[in-house]
Amino acid sequence: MNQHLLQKNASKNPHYLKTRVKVLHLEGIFEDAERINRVLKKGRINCEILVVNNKCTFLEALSYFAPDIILTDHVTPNFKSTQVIETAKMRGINVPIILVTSELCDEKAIEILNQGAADYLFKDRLNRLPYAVQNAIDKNRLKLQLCETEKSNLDVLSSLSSHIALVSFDGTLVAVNKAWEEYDVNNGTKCFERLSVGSNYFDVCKEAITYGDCVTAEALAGIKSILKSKKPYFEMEYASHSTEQEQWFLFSARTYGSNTNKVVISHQNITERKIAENELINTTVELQQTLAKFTKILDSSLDVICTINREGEFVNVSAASQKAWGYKSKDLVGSKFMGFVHPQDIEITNKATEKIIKGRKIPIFENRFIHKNGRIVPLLWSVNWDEKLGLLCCIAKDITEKISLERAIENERDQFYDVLLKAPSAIGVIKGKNHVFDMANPLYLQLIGKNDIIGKSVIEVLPEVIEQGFVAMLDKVYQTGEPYIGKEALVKIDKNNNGELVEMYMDFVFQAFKNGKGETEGVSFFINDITEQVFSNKKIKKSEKQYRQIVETAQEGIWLLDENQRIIFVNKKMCEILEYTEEEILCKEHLYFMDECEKKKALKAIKRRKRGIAESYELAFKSKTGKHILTSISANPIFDDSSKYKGSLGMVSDITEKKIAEGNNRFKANLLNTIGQAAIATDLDGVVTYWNKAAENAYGWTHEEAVGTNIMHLTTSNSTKQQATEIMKDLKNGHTWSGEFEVQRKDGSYFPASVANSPIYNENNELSGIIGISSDITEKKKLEALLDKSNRLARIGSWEIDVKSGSVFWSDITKEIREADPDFIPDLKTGIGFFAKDNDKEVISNRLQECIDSGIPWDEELEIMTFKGNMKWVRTIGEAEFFNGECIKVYGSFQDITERKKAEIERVKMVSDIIQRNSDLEQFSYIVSHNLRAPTANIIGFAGILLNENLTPEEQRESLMGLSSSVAVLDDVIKDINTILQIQKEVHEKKETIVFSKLVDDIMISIQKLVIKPRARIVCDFSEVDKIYSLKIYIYSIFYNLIINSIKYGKPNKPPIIDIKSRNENGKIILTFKDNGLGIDIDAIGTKIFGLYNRFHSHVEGKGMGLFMVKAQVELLGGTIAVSSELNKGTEFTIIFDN
Amino acid sequence: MGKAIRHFLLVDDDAINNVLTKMILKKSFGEVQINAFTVPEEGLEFMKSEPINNPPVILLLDINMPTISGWEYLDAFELFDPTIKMKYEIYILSSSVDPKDINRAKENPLVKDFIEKPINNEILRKMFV
Repeated sequence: MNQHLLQKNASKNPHYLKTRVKVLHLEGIFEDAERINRVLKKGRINCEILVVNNKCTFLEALSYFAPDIILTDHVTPNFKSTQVIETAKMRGINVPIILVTSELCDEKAIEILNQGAADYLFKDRLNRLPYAVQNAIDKNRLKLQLCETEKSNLDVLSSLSSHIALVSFDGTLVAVNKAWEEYDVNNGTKCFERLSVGSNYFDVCKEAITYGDCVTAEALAGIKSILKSKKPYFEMEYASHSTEQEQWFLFSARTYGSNTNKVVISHQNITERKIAENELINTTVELQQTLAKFTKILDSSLDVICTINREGEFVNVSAASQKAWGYKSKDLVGSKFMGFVHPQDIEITNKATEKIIKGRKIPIFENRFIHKNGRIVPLLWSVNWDEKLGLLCCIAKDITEKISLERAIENERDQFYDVLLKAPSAIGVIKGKNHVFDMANPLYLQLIGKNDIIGKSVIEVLPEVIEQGFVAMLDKVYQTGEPYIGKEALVKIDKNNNGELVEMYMDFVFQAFKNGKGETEGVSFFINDITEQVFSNKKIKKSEKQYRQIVETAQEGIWLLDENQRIIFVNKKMCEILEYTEEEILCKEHLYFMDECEKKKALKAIKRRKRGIAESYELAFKSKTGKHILTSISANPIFDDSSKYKGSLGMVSDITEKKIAEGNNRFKANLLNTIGQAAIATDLDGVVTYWNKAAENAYGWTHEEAVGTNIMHLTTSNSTKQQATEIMKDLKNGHTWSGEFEVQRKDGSYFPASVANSPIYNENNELSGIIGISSDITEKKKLEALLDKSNRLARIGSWEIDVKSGSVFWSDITKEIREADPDFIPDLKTGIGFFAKDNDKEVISNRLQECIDSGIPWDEELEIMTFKGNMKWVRTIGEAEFFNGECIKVYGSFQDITERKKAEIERVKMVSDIIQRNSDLEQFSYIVSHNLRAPTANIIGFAGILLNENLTPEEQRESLMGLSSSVAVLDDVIKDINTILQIQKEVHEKKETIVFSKLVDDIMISIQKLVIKPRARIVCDFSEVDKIYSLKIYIYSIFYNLIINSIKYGKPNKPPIIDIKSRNENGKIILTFKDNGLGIDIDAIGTKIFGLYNRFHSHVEGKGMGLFMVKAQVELLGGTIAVSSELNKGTEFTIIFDN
Repeated sequence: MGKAIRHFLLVDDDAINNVLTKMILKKSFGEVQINAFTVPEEGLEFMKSEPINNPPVILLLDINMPTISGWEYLDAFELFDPTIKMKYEIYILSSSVDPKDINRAKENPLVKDFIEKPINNEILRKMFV
């Protein structure tokens, strides 16, 4: 039981969980430690003490001991109590620290207490120690508990959505919760500016008040009143609307517990509640308004409002009863209402009343009352049964006027129907947006061949008219209210209900049909069927048109003469023949268009006409431009019903051209005989029908021999017979053929001919024969072969672009130059695409475009890649051919100038090499002279001193030293020059295979001393290429100099690392030497780095020879060297050798 | 007023030449103040910072030096404060016999004369006529 109690306690107070207090004691003096131990034990502090005597052991103890309290001396070796406190804080050890010290001034003690010590004691007054320890531990425990409580309170506050803040009496914000902090972020309205801790809330409020913020003023007054203890709390509601939403807040301020110096303020968002409240208020107001209106309506209602009890007696009757029924309401109350009902309506009324009382709903019913003055009053009743009250609540409306109106309308409607039925037009009314037939007269039904259409929509009745657009018209009329008038409209309707649409023509009007309020209710239509008229009109027009067409399109001229030979009609063709306009011809005598001779002929003809003779004869007219037109006329007399001559009709055809053509044919035949080319015509089977003079000469067969013989036997050789047969077949199919073809003479010899064959058609457009033009091209062939030969020698090809079709021709040599197959078919894209460089592609495209656009010829030397991937230089020349101001063709030559170009490039390179060499030499001679001059000048100087002056032994010695050094320098320079000049000689020495890795090893051995001191490291990677076939002495020198340089110009105090790598790229060996040394400013120095005697560092000895030699040797081996470097980063040399 | 000690500044990467010039100067003037630099940058630094008691100081400047040439040296000098510039008289002392160098020296207004190495008594005497 006891134990149980203990455990319960223990769980409440974690401190008592441990039986012993763990004390960590930092004390330098052993005796003091012992003494303090005794005091604690004596003071009944149940504790475990760990004594440490310096910083080291103290820190160690902290990590494993976990003390409940720390005792420390003020000063222990190299560790002060302040540091102890600091260390504990840093490690997050929240245990009390008590200072136990021998001496300490009070000021110092207070400082240490301020820093965080729990207490301090002097070693000569230790009796307080046990109490101090117990007290410190208890205090610490309470402090921890407080912390925890505070934290949990803070968590609770933070999780509230209200914005809560604690404000001190002077307005400073002491604390805020999370919602408060986040308010600004979420909202951004000002009203009560949310501030962070430390700001002054009152100041901000005051500022807001100066801007006229009364809400804030009220709130501030509230807070102040609490601070002055006038009120325990203050609350107010305020609106704070942002642009996006309306918001309301409840501001409240309360004293902070018993602390009268602080106020807790909170802003609680009460928007939702507020909205609900506002809605409630709105609803209430509306309700009251409605009630007021209702009462007014009741009072002023013309309808009788009354209640009737179960016995059928009036209980209440409104004032309107007097006007409606002639009885005052008080007269009616208590009397049976059935007594006022028209005897005929008693039964209906009874039934209705019964039903209503049984709870069955009858919305309204009508009956009649007898007015006090005997008039029958028709009434419309609306009745409700109230079971609770046992009353019928009724409203009775006097509908006398409505009924008489209804009558009038009915009358009108009857009359209207009467009119409709008798109307001569098809008339009807359709209603609503779906166009439902409301009414249609019999004529309409007959027109559309339908019955029973009322109540159906137009779409249902006449689906076929949708496509014809009539429904859309109705829609438009219905929507806009504007009428639509159709004239001679074609309507197709399945009138006979057999699926076949009957064409009808109608005149119609669609008119919007409006109700009393001016709203369109439907559409009325009036339709007149005019199909018959239209059809007959059309027929007439059609026949007239056909007739006109015949006359107008006739290939013969037609005119009509009246009895006085005046022209009363003339057709287009006749106008064309005479070259006059219709107006000019009409009403003239026909003799006007003839010369004297022909006039006589015409007059005689008229006489024959009058005798009734119709005939054909030739007559010549004179046209407007004076041309003689020979015509053939066929003339017919015209007589009226009484056989009186009324004129004649003439059909005239122009036969002038026919006559000329006959002449032409003769001319052409002669012409064909005189031309130099053989012209041969055959029939479709190849039998010769025409053979001109040139054909006789070319083939050796005479006209007589050839005509009637098959062409295959005359001109084709054995080797071309097969081809000739195929060509004949093609021609028979209407194709033309042209090309070169070997033909045979009568004597059996052959010659090449250029042949063009084409089919001929007769006047009926039927294939009737074949014509062939051929010429001997033996000479031309020879010339072509010669040209080809010379072109081939000059490597000149040709090409041509047909601009219209885009087709491209390349001559054989062009193809050869491009290394294309002989049967390759080129196009523009391949033509341009094989120009090697992008720039060249652009050049050739631009030239071609300029040539096509403006006819500018070009002549360019460009590089191409052939179809086999070889690079060639070509000279391309282009010119345009224009026709009618439009470029139709571009052609030109294409010459292989690779050899010449190579030589040219070689020459340019040689010249530039020579120039470079020359400038190198100049530089070389200058530097050499300078470097020779410098030691020489010194020698002269020292020698002068030695000769002329009275010298002390010391000076003499110095001069001699200088002299000897200068001589040594001079010797060095001479040796250098020798080395440099040697390079030129050595290049002719034998090459051998050099293994890079071995080479580097050799160099390392030779420069061991240089390497060891700065601890230089060389990292090699020759995995890709490890050897080169070259001059060993050079390669050695190159490697040697670059390695030495990297070591010499390493960074001070940093071991040089030299990375040497080799790789193979497109058959080239690339060597890179990279170091981590001083580097140089490459932008400032540039290629001077490779100059002779050029030096860039003063601190290290050097002559400025190394890189000069490296470059010279690399170049003599046909390689190149490049350098990249960055100051203080290092330098990288890249050497490229063609393997 | 005692005779002022002549002050020379030698800037030449060739240490042997500096030794020689020093000896000749000493022989010619007896007591002289000489500051010699083989690293030209140090010479510039000296001119910029060292107070001068006995102007003018004669600067004997070489042309061909590794880090910066005599010409570049003169370019840097030109930017100096006039109070410093007025304290120096500059002579080019070079082993060059290239007419290009000689002309360039003569055209430079900062340079009093071009002296071909080695310097000697006679030239020095002319300098102070």
